[in-house]
Amino acid sequence: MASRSINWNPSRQVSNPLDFELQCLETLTPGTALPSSSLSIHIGSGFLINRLPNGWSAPLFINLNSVEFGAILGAETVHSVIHVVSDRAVDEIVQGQHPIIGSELTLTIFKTGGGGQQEQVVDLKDSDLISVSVSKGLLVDFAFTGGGIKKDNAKNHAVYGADVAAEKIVNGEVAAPEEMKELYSSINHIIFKALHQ
Amino acid sequence: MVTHVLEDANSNGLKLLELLGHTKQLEGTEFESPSGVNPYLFANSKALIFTWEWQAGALIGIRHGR
Repeated sequence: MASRSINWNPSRQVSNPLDFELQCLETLTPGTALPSSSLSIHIGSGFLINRLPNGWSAPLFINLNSVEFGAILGAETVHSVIHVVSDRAVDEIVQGQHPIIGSELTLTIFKTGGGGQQEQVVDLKDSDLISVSVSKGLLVDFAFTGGGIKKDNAKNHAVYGADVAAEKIVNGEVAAPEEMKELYSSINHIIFKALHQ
Repeated sequence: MVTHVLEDANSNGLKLLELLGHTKQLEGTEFESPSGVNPYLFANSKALIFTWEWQAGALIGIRHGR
């Protein structure tokens, strides 16, 4: 299953993101000197919270690992909110691993601490995940990606106990922890503003 | 350890919302009003994943034109 996203800069005045993707592909054609082969690794961690009828689930801790092969330059630290837009993706993560396979085009990102460059994320069809990222550093890539999002069993066992299954965490059978209430409140406030403006 | 892990998750999540401009304007940076981030994504998400990644790319070869 493919997860695919484009981050594009509205200041470039590209009316159609697909046009922009084609423009980027054109820049990678022979005729110019470009890095043609490079390897990039992502190593990350984080947590998933699932939408429940009465709020958000307790966090399921996850690891994210992937390898990209393509035209990649630079190094960066990336913080992301990934919006899961299909139940299938949630189920796959809970059951073991959600694969990240496919091509990905990223023209980075929100730069913090200077520049103020704004990028916007556009999802394409067949995406289960839409990511919005903040980056320190600079990386431009067009790459083929393989990897996945997996449960961090060690951390989940440490927090909830070894006998608590991931399904119970995301289905609300584990109470949402008090320590996370401030984050849930902020998310709910964002949603409230979105729906009432 | 349990409390520590959950408190870290909470603070990291809040920091990320702040970085993305959802909760308040960052001070002391040139990161201005990230209006491109669509709050409707939150309203339409089945779930949310907050991640912290490190990424590095290494050049293997150079392709010359034509």
